[in-house]
Amino acid sequence: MMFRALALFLLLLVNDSVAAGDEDVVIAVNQNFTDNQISRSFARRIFTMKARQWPDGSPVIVFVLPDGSPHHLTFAKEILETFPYKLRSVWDRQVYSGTGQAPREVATIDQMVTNIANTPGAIGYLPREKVDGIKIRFIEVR
Amino acid sequence: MSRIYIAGMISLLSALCPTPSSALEFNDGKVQVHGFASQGIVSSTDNNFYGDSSHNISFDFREIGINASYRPRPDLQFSAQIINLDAGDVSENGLLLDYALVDYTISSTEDRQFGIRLGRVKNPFGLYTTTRDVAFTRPSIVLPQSIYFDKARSLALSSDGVGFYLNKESNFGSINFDLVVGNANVDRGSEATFLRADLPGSMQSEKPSRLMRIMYITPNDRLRIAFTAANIDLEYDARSYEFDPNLAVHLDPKIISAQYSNEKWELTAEYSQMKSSITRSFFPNFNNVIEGYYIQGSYQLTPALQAVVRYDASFNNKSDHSGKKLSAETGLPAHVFFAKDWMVGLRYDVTPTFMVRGEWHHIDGTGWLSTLDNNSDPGAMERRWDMLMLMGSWRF
Repeated sequence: MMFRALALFLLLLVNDSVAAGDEDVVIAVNQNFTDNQISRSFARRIFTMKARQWPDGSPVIVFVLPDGSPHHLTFAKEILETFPYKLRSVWDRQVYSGTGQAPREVATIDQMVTNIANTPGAIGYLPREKVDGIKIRFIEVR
Repeated sequence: MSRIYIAGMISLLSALCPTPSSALEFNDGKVQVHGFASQGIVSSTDNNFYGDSSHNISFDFREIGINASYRPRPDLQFSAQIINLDAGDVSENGLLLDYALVDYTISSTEDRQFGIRLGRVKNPFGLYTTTRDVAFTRPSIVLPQSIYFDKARSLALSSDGVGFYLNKESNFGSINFDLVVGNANVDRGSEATFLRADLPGSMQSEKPSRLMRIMYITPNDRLRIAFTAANIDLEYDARSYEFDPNLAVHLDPKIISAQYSNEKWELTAEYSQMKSSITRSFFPNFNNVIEGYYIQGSYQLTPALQAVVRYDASFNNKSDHSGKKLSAETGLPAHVFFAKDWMVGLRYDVTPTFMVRGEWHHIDGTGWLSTLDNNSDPGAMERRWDMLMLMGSWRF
């Protein structure tokens, strides 16, 4: 019993420290967005829920994984150059002061795939190999 | 009894929602409903804060709120929040309309956004005011009282009027500018702060308050610095039988804020000065510069456990830190004119939507205590005191 608890604890520790570091996380969009690039500042404004429309005026629909997800951590640090708790704080300030809305949270990568594929105007992030290039496209941050 | 009921409700609700639940969403996410509920427990050695806490345990510390927002188009949002607060004798009872506004983005490009808000809008005052009742957005159970004084909380909270915002993002970082013009809402706690009692007449906004904040954030999101300035004019409408019918209060708070954030730790400091002038008919006018500052550090020990430490100091008169001059002028004890507060605390996130906190305060001075909680007798307050607080908070 003791041993199992200890093994579980160690497993949790390991899980915690293995971020998605080795996996390549990219910004993923619905196929209706045709640009191949996005500026870092626009990406930041989208994921902090400040920019709410695409250049053509259509609504941006933002999907994110839970704060504790390793892919979310990699995305926040490497693509947006911030931290999950800073994003959460920006969303909370807007949600609880009536000045903005929260991104839509999905529980798993598979749900992220389904939602981006089926929602025009959708943006999120995925491991590169999950991007099929047909219903979901990836865009580079320039 | 109702306290136990509400505390029970909170733990029940949090038990029902163990998974990371995002907001309730309707109409393809165009409508979102969010809320929060926090219950605090306060115990102090001598003076009362948030109810009868002195040599006692007070449960009079509760914050409940629910909000809804509707975004029919990318450039238009309607939102409102209702809150119920219990903060000892300082708070108003019942439900309060925290904000109710329409937000219209006048122009939006990839790197810039400009818009207007109409209705009851939150005041972007310093780093924490806009969401000060939401425990998850605070760095500690109570905010640093030097700047976010709870005894007159309504003044800084919201304005009935109009707000403008401008955000600009570039390679050099981002700039956020906010301007709010509107009438401040004055509650009995604020009235008692200026009059030292909740008198029969009522205090209200004499003319619209003006508030502006400019914030700069570096491109790597590590450093944010902000400057806030406001002008607030209040008047007291006395009943005919009161001795001193006319009283006007003018306040002009200014705050400099800085925050440096890293993956594991965050360092925050704010400094404020507020010129306060009180004009009365039968007394000499009273002018004063109130000063306050704090420095706070937090460290993430594990992903779920955070430690925080803070030193927070406030002085009713910038050039009289010991309070002796004001004491001689007013006959009140010197310790009611300052407060120096050392705080250490822990936050444990049980789930992403439920957290518990504990913190201990060691305080010299009674400057930010309300007379409403302390029998209207400053002489009976103790200069040096300690306070332990615990809080459970849930949100969706």
